[in-house]
Amino acid sequence: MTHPTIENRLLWLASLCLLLYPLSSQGNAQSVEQALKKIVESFEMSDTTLPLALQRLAAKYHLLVGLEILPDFDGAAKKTITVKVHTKTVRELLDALVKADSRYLWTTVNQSVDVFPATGTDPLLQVRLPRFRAEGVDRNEAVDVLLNSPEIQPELTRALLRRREVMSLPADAPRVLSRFSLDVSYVTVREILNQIVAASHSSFWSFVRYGQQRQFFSVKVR
Amino acid sequence: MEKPQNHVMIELPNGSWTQIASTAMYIGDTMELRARELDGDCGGWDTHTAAALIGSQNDPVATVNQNNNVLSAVDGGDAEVGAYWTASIWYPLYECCEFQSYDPAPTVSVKVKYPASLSLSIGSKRTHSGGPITDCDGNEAAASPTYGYSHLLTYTLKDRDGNTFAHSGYEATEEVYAVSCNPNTCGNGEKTIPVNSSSGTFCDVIAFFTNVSAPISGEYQKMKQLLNITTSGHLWAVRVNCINAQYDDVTISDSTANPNATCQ
Repeated sequence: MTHPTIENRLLWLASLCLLLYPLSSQGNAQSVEQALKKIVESFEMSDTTLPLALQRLAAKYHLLVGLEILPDFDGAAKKTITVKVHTKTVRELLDALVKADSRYLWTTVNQSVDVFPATGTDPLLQVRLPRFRAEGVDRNEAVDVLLNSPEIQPELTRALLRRREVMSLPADAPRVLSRFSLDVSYVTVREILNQIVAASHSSFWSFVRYGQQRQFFSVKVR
Repeated sequence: MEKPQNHVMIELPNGSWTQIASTAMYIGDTMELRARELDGDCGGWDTHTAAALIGSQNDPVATVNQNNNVLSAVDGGDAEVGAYWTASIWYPLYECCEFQSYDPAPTVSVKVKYPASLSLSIGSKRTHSGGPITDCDGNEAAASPTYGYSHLLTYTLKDRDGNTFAHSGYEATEEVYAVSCNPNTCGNGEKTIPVNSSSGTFCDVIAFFTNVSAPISGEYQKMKQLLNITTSGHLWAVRVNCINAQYDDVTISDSTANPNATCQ
């Protein structure tokens, strides 16, 4: 009898994940479908942006939303929108939001709603990790673990990208955050961010590249 | 016949009693009430404490337990507390001592204090070049590295008469709503700060910074800030600020009189 090699084990793990993915996706899809069917009595925001509207939507209707914001280097990302929705479903509200800012599309992935630029997604979010493990972390620490991982660091170096978070107080005041552990395999950065949001009982993450040379990026979980 | 003197009395901490025409209380305070009638009978002055019915004309503000006549301050505002009883007043008439019925109803004005507004004092600008941002007590408000600026803010609670409101058990809660920003990464936040029970003040920090380099021209965050004061079971919306944090400094505009301001 031969012992399985590490490569074989990884392959086996990846196959298992692929096998189970549709089941888990189906199970979670039901919950996100239920969330999308919720009735929105009233949702009005004037002169706002899609990111702010989605944050409010996610918090108000307990929806997990991941948002990839258009690269923000010339102010193009800050299109102002006005949305007034009454007695519609969350799904219809999402449709109304991306109709108001048609540079974006939305879809559901597992238990999350992913909103992304219609022109395509950032390759950094598509990087697939063979395994992501974080133990006893809060949401911010989990993002740090992800961005410092050996799979992501070379990507950042290669793309000359640096994480730069613009913050303010009291909006970004430190708070007591719930701790959790994550151990997932064969997942993309986008999927990991979705899982961090779910595990931390948060509702929203955003990713954006910005700066004159798009040399900075921001990842925030709220 | 001299007119009888009627009062509502309260018991002082030393156990003695004093008469009152008005009193100020804080929510949760209690005081025991007693009605007293002072009049003279045919043989000289005497003190007569009547068995009175005591009640409040504004129960949501102050209530009276009619079993023990204890007045409880329930909510901020004004109340009128009244005592009512029936007495017999004795007076000499010829060789006799006559009496007549007498129904006094003295009242007491009760003002239950509550925080009605906040005054703000903004400290000087602090520049940060990598170190942490600290609050008034030297505690870390934002961990290093931070690059940007901050100000310490001191808020003072005022009652509706404009006097400092200082009492134990009160907290300030802040809700911050992002209005617009560049880069497009701002979000909402909330924070709770205890109010100093002796000075009626609390300290806050306002800051704009990044973890890599100081904000540059064109970077900003505009926010709307709602400040509420809470104590058990009560909340008062006392101030609305429009915050405009530009790359080099911040402006705080008091928008309490216009709470629906967009703060754009």
